[in-house]
Amino acid sequence: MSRLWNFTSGLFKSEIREFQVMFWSFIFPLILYFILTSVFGSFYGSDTQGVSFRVGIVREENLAGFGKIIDEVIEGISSESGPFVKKEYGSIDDALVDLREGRQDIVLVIPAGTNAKMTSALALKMGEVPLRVHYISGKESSTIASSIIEEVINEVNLEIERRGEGDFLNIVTETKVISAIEEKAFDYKEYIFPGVALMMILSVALFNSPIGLIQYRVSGVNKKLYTTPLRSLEYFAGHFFKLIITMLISLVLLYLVAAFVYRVGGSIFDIRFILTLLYSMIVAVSFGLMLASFSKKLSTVTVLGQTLYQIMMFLGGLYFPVFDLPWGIRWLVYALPTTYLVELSRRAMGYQFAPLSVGWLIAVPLIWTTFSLVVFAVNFKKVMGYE
Amino acid sequence: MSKTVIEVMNLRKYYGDTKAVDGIEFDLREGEVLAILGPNGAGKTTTVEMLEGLRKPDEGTIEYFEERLPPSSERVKEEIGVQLQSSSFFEYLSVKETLDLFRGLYRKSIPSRDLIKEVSLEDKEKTYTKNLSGGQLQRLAVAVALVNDPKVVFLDEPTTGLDPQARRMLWETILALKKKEKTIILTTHYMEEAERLADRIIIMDYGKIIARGTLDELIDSIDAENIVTFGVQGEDPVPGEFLDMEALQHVENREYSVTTRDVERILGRLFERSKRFGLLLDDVTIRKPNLEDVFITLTGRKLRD
Repeated sequence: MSRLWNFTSGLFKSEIREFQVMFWSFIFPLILYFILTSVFGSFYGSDTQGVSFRVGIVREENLAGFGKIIDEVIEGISSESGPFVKKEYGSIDDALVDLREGRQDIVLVIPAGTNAKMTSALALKMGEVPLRVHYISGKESSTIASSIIEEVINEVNLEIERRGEGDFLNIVTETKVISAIEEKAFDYKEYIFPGVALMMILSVALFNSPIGLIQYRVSGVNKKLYTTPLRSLEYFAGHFFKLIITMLISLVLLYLVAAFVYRVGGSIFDIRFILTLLYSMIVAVSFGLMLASFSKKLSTVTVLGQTLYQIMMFLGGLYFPVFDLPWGIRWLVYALPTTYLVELSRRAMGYQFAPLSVGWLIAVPLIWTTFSLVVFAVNFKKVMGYE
Repeated sequence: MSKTVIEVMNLRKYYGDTKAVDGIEFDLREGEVLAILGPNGAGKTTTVEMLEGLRKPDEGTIEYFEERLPPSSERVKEEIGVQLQSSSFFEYLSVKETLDLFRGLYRKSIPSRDLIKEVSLEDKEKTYTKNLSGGQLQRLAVAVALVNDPKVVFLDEPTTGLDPQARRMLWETILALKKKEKTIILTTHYMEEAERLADRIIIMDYGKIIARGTLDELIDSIDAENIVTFGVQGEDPVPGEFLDMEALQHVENREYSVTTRDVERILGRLFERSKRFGLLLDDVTIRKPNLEDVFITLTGRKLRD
């Protein structure tokens, strides 16, 4: 153990003294946090609003007669360009699963008995026709969609009264809260925190790690180390711990700035959020190892690392939502581990931006980690540069 | 009789069609300094890298100590010290920190300051390795090779690229190791280095051992008491008849050498022919043979060709 610690501390000291490592790992994330918060903090003062909402329709009874009015209204407000994109469901359970997992913003249920209640209300000029709206409390798009539906229904009531010269119809919406996500105001400083943290993790994992490994191979340091009793496992454990220590120091600095300068609240101190960051570190480090195993030259790994870093940062949704991008590039969004990692962190903070379940958010990065480690293990000797 | 530390049998290593090491055999005894001499590409470095466990032989065996351990065993790694041909360390660690790091990798070690003193780097103790000169870096490499107080020390071309002063300084360090009765394997293409430092010499060429023995044994093997060297002035081709002489070797350009036990006869013949062919001789010298002559006699080439 002392051998490992001795090696890790030597590696860490050697790398941390390099200005580039110091700047990109510790200083740049703080600068970026400052810039993004200054530029976009006021811009995103309130929640972002989408131009269209996804509504799931569940019919417990098919509408007939006067009930067709509701169908016409639904058709009228549903189109690809908004404000609603509808999807019909056979059962309330399926619709609610999609609502919980972010694939729908609200679910509108036409309850059994709606036809009879409409006929009765029109004939007797009294009574209510209730429709059920399920939405997720705390999710802005869901709350807004629910309010819009309510407004539309009110407009329908008024229109019927106007056209029917006194005909009475009181369609009402009963709202049902589906998910107990805590109500919270959108805070850009909080929103961007996991993005900047992940950017820092990526920069350490995609640059420090593979560049370091290849530099040590090319310069002959690895060769020298292999003549000593240091085992391969200890060598890589040393690298791993060095990276984790670098990331942790950087994170502590970021936390200090977020907490004391920007007064970011308790969600970043939530243990679930911290665990998502640790998970991100492991995924990113394994990705960096895979990168090293593909490259023989320092220039190749630098170009490869830079390209992947930019793609993962911008298409991974670290700084802005990416799920409305055209499908031409949205597939890339879904392929990147960072998309899932940053969403997982934000989910732990109480936000939801991606139409993905927590299971997927954990599974996809795990698949990437496994794949990366397997590729690395296969090419391991190439990385070390010995037979 | 001292114990055998390393025994090498029928060692072979191929890179594609190239036979880098082609069936060599030798052993190394405790406290002995063995120099492996040969031109670039002779297979010296490949040989020592197989001994150090850095490369796997395609054929043959390498056994360490009485226990007949392979080079990859942990015990061997604890007992050997390696200075590689090109020395590279963590750039942002100081000389002392580098030694401390490597000391931490072994079970037993020598204090860093003692090693720094041994290789005369006291004034560079706090200097980052990236700021060391070539000679200082080589001395650090030797110090790192000694951190575990090894039984066997490998020095792979330790003085290549160094200026004469740095080379002499490193020779002093190696001689000090010799006094401590360390077993040393030294590869070099400097004959003077091998002559000065080695107890026994192996000469390699094209992956094979072409000669072995002590310095005296090797020199005796070419059956020459003296070497006569001379140059021929002018630019016209030197006539073949002029050069038709037993044991004559072409050194380079218009320079030649003849190994002989009868200097007077050779000189007489040289002067007679120069008069007959109208040629002027240049730099005629008579000297005792050295390793370079052994190599030229055996291969027809200079060591550094």
